Amino acid sequence: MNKKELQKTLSAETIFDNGAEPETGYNTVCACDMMSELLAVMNQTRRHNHGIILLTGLANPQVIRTSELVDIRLIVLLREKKPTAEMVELASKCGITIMSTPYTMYKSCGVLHERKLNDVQLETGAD
Amino acid sequence: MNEANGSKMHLEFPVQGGNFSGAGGASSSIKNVLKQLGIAYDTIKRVAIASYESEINIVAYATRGELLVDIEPGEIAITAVDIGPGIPDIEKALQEGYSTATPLIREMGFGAGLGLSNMQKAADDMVIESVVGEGTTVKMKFRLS
Ligand SMILES: Nc1ncnc2c1ncn2[C@@H]1O[C@H](COP(=O)(O)OP(=O)(O)OP(=O)(O)O)[C@@H](O)[C@H]1O
Ligand SMILES: [Mg+2]
Repeated sequence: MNKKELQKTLSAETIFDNGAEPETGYNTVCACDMMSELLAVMNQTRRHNHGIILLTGLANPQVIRTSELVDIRLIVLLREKKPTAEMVELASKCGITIMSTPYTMYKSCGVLHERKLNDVQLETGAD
Repeated sequence: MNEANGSKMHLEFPVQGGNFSGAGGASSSIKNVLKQLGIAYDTIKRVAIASYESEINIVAYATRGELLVDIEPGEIAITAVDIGPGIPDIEKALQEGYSTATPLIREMGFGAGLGLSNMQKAADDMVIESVVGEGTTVKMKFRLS
């Protein structure tokens, strides 16, 4: 899925566009409100994460920083949350796209699951 | 700060306690250095996660600290040193879910009690030394594959 399709699927607004699309397209979703949890999940993956979409209800600069460190390049803020100016500035430095959707976490996951996007592949544990 | 000495490199990054808006800056710089050195992706990711978790812990719990990076052939060491309250019970702190995080830390998206165990999983070797009322040192080693 490319950014335009994602935007349509989530009825989202693009607030900052990094001007790039991953080679694989966006094919994986990580839904997470806590950065501790996101780091624990990413610690269990071995692949490049450029095709991952982060769905989160958290709108603060740490979301951008955490994404940068684990190579996530696209963040969707839920329930119409908008990034602060500081977040947008950091996102532009790090090359991370930010979108905002009116949908809840559940609905966002649902519509993306319907479009056959994958869950994050963990190295251990059940899928 | 940055002394490249043959194939060895030592870097130091100060970390300010309580400064959430700058948190992650040191780890981001470390990640960029490793990328420039052409270190394998998997290793960079492990170092970045562990270094970031330790940086966040300094910001969240300590007064101030430093991330020390030592890059040698075959190994990267990250040492997070801080001046702060110390950890009274290290074994307990290592347990997943144990956290003394304040509401502010939780608001930033942290405080699940996963950081230290995540660091332990990311690193090949980790040692914690802490003196209550003085500070904490976490030494992590990463073998280069
Ligand atoms: N540098 C430190 N100085 C003092 N106490 C610390 C330090 N690092 C960790 N601790 C203590 O150990 C506990 C567990 O740390 P850990 O990083 O595992 O989880 P957390 O920081 O609470 O949450 P998370 O890392 O998941 O966001 C902390 O809540 C804190 O009480
Ligand atoms: Mg922590």
